[in-house]
Amino acid sequence: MKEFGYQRVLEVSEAISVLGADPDARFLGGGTNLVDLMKTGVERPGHLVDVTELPLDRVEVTPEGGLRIGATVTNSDLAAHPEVRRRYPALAQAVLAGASGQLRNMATVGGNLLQRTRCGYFTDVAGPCNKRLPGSGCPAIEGEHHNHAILGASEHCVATHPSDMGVALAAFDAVVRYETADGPGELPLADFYLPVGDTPHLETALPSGALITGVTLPPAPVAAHSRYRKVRERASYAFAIGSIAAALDVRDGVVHEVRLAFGAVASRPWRALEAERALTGGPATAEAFAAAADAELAAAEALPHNGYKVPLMRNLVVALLTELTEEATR
Amino acid sequence: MTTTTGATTTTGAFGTARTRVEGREKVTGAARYAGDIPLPDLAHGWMVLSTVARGRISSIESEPVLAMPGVLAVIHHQNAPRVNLDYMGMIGKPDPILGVFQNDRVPFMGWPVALVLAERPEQAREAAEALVVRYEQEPHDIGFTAGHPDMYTPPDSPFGPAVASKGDVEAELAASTFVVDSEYTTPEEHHNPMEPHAATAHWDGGRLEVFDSNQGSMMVAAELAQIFSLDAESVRVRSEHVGGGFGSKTTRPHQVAAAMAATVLQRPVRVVMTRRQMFSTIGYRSPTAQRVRLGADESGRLRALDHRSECVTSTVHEFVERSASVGRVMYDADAHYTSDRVVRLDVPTPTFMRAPGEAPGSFALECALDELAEKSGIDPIELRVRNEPDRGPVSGLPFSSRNLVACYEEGARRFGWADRDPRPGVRREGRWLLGTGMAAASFHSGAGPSTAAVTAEADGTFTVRINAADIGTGARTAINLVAADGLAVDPERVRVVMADSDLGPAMLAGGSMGTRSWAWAVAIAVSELRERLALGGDIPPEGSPRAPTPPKPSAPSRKRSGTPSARSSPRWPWTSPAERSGCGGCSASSRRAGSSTR
Ligand SMILES: Cc1cc2nc3c(=O)[nH]c(=O)nc-3n(C[C@H](O)[C@H](O)[C@H](O)COP(=O)(O)OP(=O)(O)OC[C@H]3O[C@@H](n4cnc5c(N)ncnc54)[C@H](O)[C@@H]3O)c2cc1C
Ligand code: SF4
Repeated sequence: MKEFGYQRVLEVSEAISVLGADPDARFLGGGTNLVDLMKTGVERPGHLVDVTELPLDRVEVTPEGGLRIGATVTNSDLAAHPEVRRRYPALAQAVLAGASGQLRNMATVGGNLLQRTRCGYFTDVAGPCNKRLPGSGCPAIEGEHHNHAILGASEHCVATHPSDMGVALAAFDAVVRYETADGPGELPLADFYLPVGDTPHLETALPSGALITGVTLPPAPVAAHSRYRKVRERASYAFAIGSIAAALDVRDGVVHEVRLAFGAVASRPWRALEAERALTGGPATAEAFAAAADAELAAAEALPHNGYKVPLMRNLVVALLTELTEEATR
Repeated sequence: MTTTTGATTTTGAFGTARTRVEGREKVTGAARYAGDIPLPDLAHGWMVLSTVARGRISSIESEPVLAMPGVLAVIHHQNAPRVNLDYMGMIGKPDPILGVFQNDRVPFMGWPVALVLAERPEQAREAAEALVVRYEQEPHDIGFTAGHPDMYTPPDSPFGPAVASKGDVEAELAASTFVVDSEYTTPEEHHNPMEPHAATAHWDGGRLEVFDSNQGSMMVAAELAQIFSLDAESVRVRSEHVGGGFGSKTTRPHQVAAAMAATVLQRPVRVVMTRRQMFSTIGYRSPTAQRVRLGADESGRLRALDHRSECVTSTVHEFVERSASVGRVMYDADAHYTSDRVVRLDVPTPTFMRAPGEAPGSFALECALDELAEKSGIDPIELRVRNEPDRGPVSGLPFSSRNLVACYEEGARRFGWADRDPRPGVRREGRWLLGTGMAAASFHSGAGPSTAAVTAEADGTFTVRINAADIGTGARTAINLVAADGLAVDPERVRVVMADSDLGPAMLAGGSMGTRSWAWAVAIAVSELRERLALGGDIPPEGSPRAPTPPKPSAPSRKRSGTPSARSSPRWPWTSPAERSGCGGCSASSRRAGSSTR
């Protein structure tokens, strides 16, 4: 493990200037991902700038009725916040479906968005991996990939983004706020993660040196009727093999508004816009849900060992939307 | 001060719910594990594992690494002290992985090729990861498949024959009304206990002392003595707290590497494994490919039981996952054929892991029984009862104990078996589909010889000394209660000293035999002590004598239950060897000495 410096900062401006002055420096949130990767040698920063004392630890309701979530809000606090639970229940459920109580107490919103893939080849520095060592190859395609991507992947990388929280944020059109030396900026989550293409090592559109300051959720009344469901290989303390965040507004048996996002199927939280389009204005029936899922999954490209994800996601869509429909008509 | 242990009533502490004796220490973080013991001048070793699956080391470029901050040495096959692996250990011949850094051969990916030593663990790790090792790679085969062309029948082992048969299976199958022919596979399984393997070794006044995490300090001490050609008395191994073992915490490369490095550096050395390293260095359960054929007559009575299992081992050591053996004690059949075969591939050596053989074997056999129940329309429990043997189905020997039918009856009663809906997938509770099923399993029940000593202390407390290992099972608490009940005193008054090879020979924590074996020795020791105290023995102000330290671990007769003698005697004689507490009389540690004959 490489020796590194550590420094705590109290002001956003200080954080940015310290990072800007040292190309080898990195921000440290809860450290639950970065420190693990430092131990295995995947990440090798020379200096850590601890951002957890920055005044970015609040969740506020915006005048429009959305939420402003600070970047250093812990996953636990986010999930427990009454306004999150009331306005965006799927977000609270998604966060609680992740990691463990201890980890969530440490993990931050900013760090969660930037956590790296759990692809085993990525974390094994002894072997090749295009994401870790550009141009070295992707052993997962021929090898172990039962939990790799079925959507939006490329021949250069088939890794998934592991975040649960991000899936709910994607469904609710979250906007990531950041700060650089040049001032503040914003990126809709839809544009935050870059397409894989032939540059799987470039994961986000964040300008270099940018500090994530928070996430804004625009108001979304439909989100009050939302749910998150995660399928995993054991009931707790495991990453998703498929997950879904869904919000549904049904009126007289017709889908008035719907939000759908998939997790563990792509290099980013996957907003299922095709499915949403297919559903909106149509009947809220299991057949329609299945057809919508099929429309979204038509683009799926399975590898030999992850084809199960296609029916899995389809079934999740049908099950969760059916539940939300039943709930609405009760 | 005079102490009595009370009248003949027992406290009845055993069998009641108790807080772990060391529970508070553990949950507050005060308990010190092998990787936590502070020692002055401690150096840290980091293992470097091979990154190729088969080949030879062509070079190890240690020069640049030696220039890195804090790095003290790099031990590898060209400079390592030689070790001896020509011995028979407590659980068999040593796995050649214990011969760390002895030659340039790499038999599998993750084989230890070097140890980097540094002042701090982070420095050692950084240098170990920077160390360039070059290999001459050779073609490898790591693919375990059913019917692999190199599959062979291993020689019989102390755990039983590879093949056992009686009657003509093919003829009985042909004559059967119902036949099941199914294949089952189980994946490899890794122990990965919560606490990784860790050892801290140092030389103390001419003795090699190792703080370790293991399932039997005696076993590890004896093997380290063999490996480094030392007298048995010159090695002391302690493992006060162990965070899980599951069969993997035996003698492993980290202890050898730590002891070797402590010798080379002449200072204390700690080697802690990472989880990733554990996957190739501590053993695992082999994957299996099993085929079960059952033939039954109209009434469900088995005419044929045919169970063939295949597993994998490494090219350097043979370990056989004996899955097919379960049938030999489970079910009667006119004809039996059971075989365990193995293939040597370029993979790490498997080892004992939680019910080795029984776990994957029962899975296959019991699934097949269920399939037969389905086919024949006979209730799964009834089917098993109809095939219940009254003596070893293959051996013909009587069972020492067997109570399976009563277990079925009680289980069925508690489970509401008779009223269940046997159709699968029809009952739902919320998101869950509910079903009912049953399966049976058998496990040998033996015990191993152990020695224990009990001392009545001047302050009215008692100290039990036994080289037991509490790997998280609660053994320390159980021993405490056994002693307390035997002495008829409150458990608070009993202190248990354990997990130290200097305490003499005792069974290791394995094969579900640990607490059973130790409790036996402790129970005898405390009853002897009680008798002596009842005879009017007062405790002298300094307490009754303790076991001599260090006793010769190789000479169990010197381990005795220390007891106070009569007041008239100024010296406290040790009990005669005949009074040595222990259960040497019970069946030896062989797996065959169980309730079930094979
Ligand atoms: C055992 C285990 C199980 C887990 N299970 C799950 C699970 O089931 N589901 C799930 O979603 N997650 C899971 N996680 C991942 C966990 O959610 C993430 O590790 C966590 O959210 C990361 O947050 P952090 O604050 O600790 O990030 P860090 O580890 O501190 O940082 C991660 C990255 O973000 C950067 N960073 C942090 N804060 C900022 C900022 N404000 N601005 C810019 N960059 C920043 C860091 O430089 C680093 O690159 C698991 C983790 C572990 C260890
Ligand atoms: S899937 Fe991506 S992260 Fe995994 S090995 Fe391939 S390139 Fe690396």
